[in-house]
Order: sequence, then structure tokens, then C-alpha cells
Amino acid sequence: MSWLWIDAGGAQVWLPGVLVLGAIVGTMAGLFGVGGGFLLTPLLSVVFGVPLEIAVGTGLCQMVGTSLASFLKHRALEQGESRFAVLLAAGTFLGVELGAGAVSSLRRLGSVPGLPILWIDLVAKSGFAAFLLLISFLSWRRRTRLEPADPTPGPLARLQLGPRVFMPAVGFDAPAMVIAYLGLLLGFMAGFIGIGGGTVLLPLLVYGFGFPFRHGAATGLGLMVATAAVGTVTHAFRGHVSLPLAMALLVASTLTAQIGAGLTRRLKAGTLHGGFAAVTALVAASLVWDVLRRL
Amino acid sequence: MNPILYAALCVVVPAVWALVSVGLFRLWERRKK
Repeated sequence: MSWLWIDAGGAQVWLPGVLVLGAIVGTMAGLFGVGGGFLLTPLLSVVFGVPLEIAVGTGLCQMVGTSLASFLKHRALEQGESRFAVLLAAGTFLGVELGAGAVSSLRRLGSVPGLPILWIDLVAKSGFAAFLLLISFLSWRRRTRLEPADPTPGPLARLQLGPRVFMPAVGFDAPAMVIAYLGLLLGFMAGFIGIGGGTVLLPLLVYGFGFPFRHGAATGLGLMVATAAVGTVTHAFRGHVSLPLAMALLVASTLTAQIGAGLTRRLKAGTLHGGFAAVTALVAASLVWDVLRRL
Repeated sequence: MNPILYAALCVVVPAVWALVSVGLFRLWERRKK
């Protein structure tokens, strides 16, 4: 039964397990517009024994296909704001560079006295975990509140700063400068901590700009395709992508990503908020675990 | 394999697979109706 096993960087990975993992990651991408890197990378590495660098590169490679399938399904359902995504993109790529530069500078601070952990890991990861727990709490509270029939602009959309861009899918406008700087922030987070995209963007779109949940989930996906493609090329050059493993993940994830995207129409907004609360709490828990295991 | 070719394959193959999967899914949805 050797066909049930895939070789990835010297590790033998069990195919049915990979299919189940792909199905879970795809559903999350479709429902919440999150990449699933927080779930996929540690599981591939810890449970399946794939070397960490191969797990990161392969995760990005499968995200190209999963986010594209989910993005196309959301587009077919007329969900998401492409103008918003384009404005975000410019800031994001600059932000990644700034984030990566900040990491290099902060690494020079060295490790916490008496503990085998770097200051940067301790401060950045605990800070981000605290931010995610706050988002999780906000989402959990929102699950019992009814979503208004007509979307109303949130506090960030109401800011009076420079030229404004109209977003037809949600029916209101927002300051272009705020969106571009939001892209910069997202890119910075991705370069700084390695987690960005959906987990940060979705709460900002829903609670900050007043997007309905399904439009929020769809908006980040186009950006995610581009980010994942750039990340994949970087890792593939270093030989850190296992294409057979990525394809095995994609067989299930591209299908469930479309089912997940379709479900955003059928599920009640409260259920989506509750689900997102659970996802952000899970990401926060994985960050806390990552810090604790180094102590 | 040439690293440039491999990097290109790692982006193109998942993207093509996604397009095929979306096409097949739409076909299945239409037939279901």
C-alpha cells in the first residue's frame, strides 16, 4: 500500500490524513477568508513529521490554489470588494519588507535574561495572541446580534481623511488613505510575525469598516492569492516546497473552499461570528503554545 | 530540476488545479439544478 504514503522532505506522510487536513483548511478559507497557515504548518510539522521549512513552503503553495478557488466562488456569488483589495495590495507588499526589517533589528536585542527565548518572540507573539483574544471576545458577543439588512459604515469608514473610494458591493464609501495604510499594517504583521491576512483583515473589515461578514471574508482572498504566490516562489527557489504534498492537500481543499464560500450565504451571521470567534481563539492558543514550549 | 522551472510549476500547477476544480464544481451545481 505504498501509494498511501507521500515523501515530503524525507518524511513519509499518510495520504488519507493529508486529505482530511486539506478539507479542514479549505473550509476555513471559504468560510472566513483565512489562510489556515496557523493550523496547517504546525500540524504538518508536529503530527506528520514534515520538516518545518517544507511545511511552511508547502502550506503557501497549497494556499495559491485554495484561496484562488475560494476567491472565484465568492466572485460568482458577487461577494467581496475588489477596489478595496487593490488598494490594500500596494501597502501590503511594502509592509512585508518593513516587518521583515523590524524582525532583523529586534533580533539584535537577543534573548530574555535567564530564559531560552528571544525578546521578539515573547513580545510579538504574546501581543498578537492578546489582540486575537480580544477579537475572539468581540466576535463571540456579536453572534447573538442581528446583522442589519443595509450595511452601515463603521468607525474607520466614517473617518474624514482625503479622497474616498465607493464600494458598490457594500454600498458605501471609505477613505482610500485609511485602506492603503491598513494594507501596510497587514503586510507589517505578516513580515513581523508570519501570520496575517484573514485573521487580522476580517475583524477590521467587519468591526472597523462595517462590512457584512460574507463580503469581509471574500475581500481578503484576492490579496491572499498574490501573497501566497510570492511566498511560494521564494520558498520553491530554496527547495522548500513539496509539490506532491501540496497537490494532495489541494484535492480536498479546493472543493471544500467552494463549499465553505457557498455556506457564507446560507449560514446565519451569528453562526459565522461564533465560528470566527473559535478560529481566532485557536490561533491565539497556538501562539501561546509556541511561546510556552520554548520556555 | 531547474529551480526557476520548479518555482514556476509550484505556482502554476495549484492555480490550474483550482480553475479545473471551480469549473467541475460549477458543472456539478448546474447538473444538480
